[in-house]
Amino acid sequence: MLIQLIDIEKYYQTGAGKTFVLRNINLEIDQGEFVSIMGPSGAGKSTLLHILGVLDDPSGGSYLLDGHEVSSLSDKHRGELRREMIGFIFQAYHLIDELTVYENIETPLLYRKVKSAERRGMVSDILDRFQIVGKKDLFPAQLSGGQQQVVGVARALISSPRLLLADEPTGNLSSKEGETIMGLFKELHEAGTTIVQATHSEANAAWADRVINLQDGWIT
Amino acid sequence: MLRNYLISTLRRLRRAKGFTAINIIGLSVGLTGAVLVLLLVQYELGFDQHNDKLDSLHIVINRVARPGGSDRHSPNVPMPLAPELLSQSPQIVRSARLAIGEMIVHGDEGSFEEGVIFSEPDLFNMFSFEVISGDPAAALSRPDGLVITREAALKHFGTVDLIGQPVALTNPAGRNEFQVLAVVESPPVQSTFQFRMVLPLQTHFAFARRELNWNSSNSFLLVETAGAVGKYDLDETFQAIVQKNKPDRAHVDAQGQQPTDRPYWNFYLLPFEDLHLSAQVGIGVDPRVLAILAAIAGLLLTIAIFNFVLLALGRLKSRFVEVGIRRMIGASRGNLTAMFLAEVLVTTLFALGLSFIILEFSLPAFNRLLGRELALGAMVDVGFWAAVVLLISLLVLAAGIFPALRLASMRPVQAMHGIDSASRKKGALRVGVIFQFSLAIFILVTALVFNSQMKFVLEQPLGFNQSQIVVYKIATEGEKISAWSQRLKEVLLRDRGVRSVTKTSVSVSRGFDRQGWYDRSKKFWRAVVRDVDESYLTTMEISLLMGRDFREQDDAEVVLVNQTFVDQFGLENPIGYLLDGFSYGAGTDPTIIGVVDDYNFSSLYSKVQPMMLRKRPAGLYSYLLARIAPDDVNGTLQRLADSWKNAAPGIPLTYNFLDEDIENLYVVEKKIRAVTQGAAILALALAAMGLLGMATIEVSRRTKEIGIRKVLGASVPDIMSLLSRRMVLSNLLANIIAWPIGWMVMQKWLGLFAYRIDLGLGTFVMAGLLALAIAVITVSTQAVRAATANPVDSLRYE
Repeated sequence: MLIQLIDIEKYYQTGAGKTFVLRNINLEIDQGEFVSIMGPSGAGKSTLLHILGVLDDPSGGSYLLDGHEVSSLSDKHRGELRREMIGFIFQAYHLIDELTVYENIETPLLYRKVKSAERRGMVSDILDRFQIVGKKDLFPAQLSGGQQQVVGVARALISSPRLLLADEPTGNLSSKEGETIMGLFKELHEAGTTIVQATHSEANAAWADRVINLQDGWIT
Repeated sequence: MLRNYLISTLRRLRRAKGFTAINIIGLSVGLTGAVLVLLLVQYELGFDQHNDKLDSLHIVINRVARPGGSDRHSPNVPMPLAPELLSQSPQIVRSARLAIGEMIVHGDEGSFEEGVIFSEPDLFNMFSFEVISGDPAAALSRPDGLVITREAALKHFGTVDLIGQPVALTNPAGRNEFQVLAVVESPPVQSTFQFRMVLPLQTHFAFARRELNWNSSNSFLLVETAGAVGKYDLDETFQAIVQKNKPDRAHVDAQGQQPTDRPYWNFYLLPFEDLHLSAQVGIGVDPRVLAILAAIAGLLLTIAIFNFVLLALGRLKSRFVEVGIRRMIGASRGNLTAMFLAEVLVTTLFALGLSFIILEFSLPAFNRLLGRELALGAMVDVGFWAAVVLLISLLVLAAGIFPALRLASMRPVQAMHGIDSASRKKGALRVGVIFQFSLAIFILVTALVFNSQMKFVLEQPLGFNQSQIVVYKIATEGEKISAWSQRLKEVLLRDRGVRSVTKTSVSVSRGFDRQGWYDRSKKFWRAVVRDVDESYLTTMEISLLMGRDFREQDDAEVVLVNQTFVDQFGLENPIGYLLDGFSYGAGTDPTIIGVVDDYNFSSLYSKVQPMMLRKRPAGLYSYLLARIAPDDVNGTLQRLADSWKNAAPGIPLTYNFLDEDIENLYVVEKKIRAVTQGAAILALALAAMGLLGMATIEVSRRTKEIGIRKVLGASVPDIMSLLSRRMVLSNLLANIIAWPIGWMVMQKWLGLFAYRIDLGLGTFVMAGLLALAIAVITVSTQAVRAATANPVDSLRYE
């Protein structure tokens, strides 16, 4: 089992008391699974993904990633986990504006201290694989939404993560572009990558093996 | 990784051109000042380093006790100290005494006055000077030897091939023949000793009088020690010498009227290396001037750093998403800190490059201002680069570490959603802006006060009319001065452009002739004594308060005194008062015949002292002061020079205007004033640039708010006041910080002057208003843009 969430809670302290975002979440995800988290805006999908991605801490409960309790990890170890194990894809693509397509994809490898020659090979492979070699010197602003998201996926996959987390990956895309991205996920899933995507599109959710519904912070 | 940082930094700098320009220009101005001070410090530290034996060279300093005040450290010591010291201290290997004087050189190109030094053979065995021909040490061991520099040789004889050449020189003791026995290169610019000719010490006109005289301190004593010798290692030797040769009269301090209990002589050895930067001895550069320049450069740099930090913090939000992404894809805090510092480094290096360009173009002007020969090429060595690297590192840390740590400490999710967790940020920004304003106001206050005080000093009524007075100086043998000065007076008076002429021993601002004496009741008197003639008061337009002026037939038996003299010595009926004891029994004691109004005859740092004007028929009147008509000044000067040439061929005559002399008393202050004025303008410009950046950020941050307010009916002035209100408030608060500090610092500086302006509120208010005006103008440019924009665009933008 890759992911195990036990009684996870997330709340914010506000003037009126606690505002809960997630309540009593118990969830297990196996290695190689493709899971969709469905729910309307404000249901807590993104927060759940952030916790899964070690970007945010739960307020209560326990999160075991690959058998290790995450809450006890230092900031440095969390960074390592993200570098080595997890890939992220966002609705807003979140590419770095000042870097070209090539450089955006290369950046995670820099943080992993991959040698220059090896890095070039890896980036070239992934540019080939996603057929964006011709766009490698362009800046994000020069690409369409779909193309930016493909670069986002390429960047998430460059480190061959075991876990791919996607937060509304097709939210800003046309339905055709969305389908291309979903097709890519399908291929990755078949190749053994664990994928958790948050979406409120039923059509996209259907690409997954399992759909988890979230409503006002509760799994329903 | 570094390449990645570098590339993204360069692209980011290019994208935010305005902010980049503010940062680079601001830092480069600060760095230009800092590098300049660095060059200057390096230059000053390089003084006398050309001497091979520098480590073992010392100068004997006499620490003169002054009651109630700080001691005076004088390099002038009695001549007989040298042989005494050599015989009593085995640590002294060699010594050379040195006196300064003037000679008239009768060369191939005419007769010119030349500053010369008189010294002993070992001067050239101790100090390193490049010899072109001959043997300078041997030259000084002969009574007629002469050492000449290349520069002087070329000036007077048109060649350096001069060994064996006879040269006629005239000093107050008469005309003498010398022989050139060595030609040397002119001393390097960074040499404390500057000379054009060196003559044997015994040829100094006063040598015979001073050689064995322990009561007269007027030559330098340079010594070479065997190995390292500490400042006070020779204390016992010196004390023994002092004990044996105590002055035979009671010593009286230089300023006050009371004899002091402490011994007059307190000799110590000052390493020659330290002489140039010794504020106490005051021969070289005053390190306090360097400190003022360093402080100004530091202030400018601080303003630039503040700009940088404030703009970085203000624009932090635009970096949140990037920080979030980088953290998400694996960047550690260290990575992010390094990235931001790399950005600061790149900006700083651009600024450094620009500052070198600015320096290259502005160094000649700085050199003129500072009277130095700073050069980027020659002075850039390993030490310089090490200092620059240190400076840049400190700068990068100062400007970068705060924003870097703020960015790196953000939690990834909050960063990506643009949520700033630190609520204190805005407070820090506001405090930063206030501090920024305070610095600018402080610099403005100092510049304004400096300016007013210097204006006050230069325009202060001095008690005489200083305009249109030309100071003539005759250089000739002593016994002939009297005759020549009378001759010159006649020549001057014959000219139609000359109103009146007076002869005097000392020009107004040059030198002091103090004299002290005891009267019969053992009361001690001390006054500045000046020889003048009967035209002095009329020419200088000095008022006579009581009694009468000199008449032509008067002699040294009658004197005039100033009001301070009367007040200080409590003379109730000064006219007719006999100053007994003044002549030490060697003549007739003088009687006061008149009292003149106080006039300032030295810099306004010191109060008017008691003064006595004396008329001596055979006085050494080296100076003639001529009041000339204001029209056709140049024509008059030219005519007078020609007349003198005809009347006295071969007698050099130099002249200058008296008000120049008076201004020259404040050379350092004038330079500092120029620097502070420049710095104040730069400081304001930098602060304004920073404000412009902050205003831009503020306006873009509040675009949506402005749009909504306009939709709700706010007018353009409403919006402008909304945006300017905070700046005005920050400015007002900044005054509270800047005024007391400015007041304290300037009060301390003004305390150095005996005559000074009162520090009024006006200066401070003016500085505050000036800073406020600049802030309002700067912010308004941005506010107008925001206020006049179409609200629909503002809202759509958001």
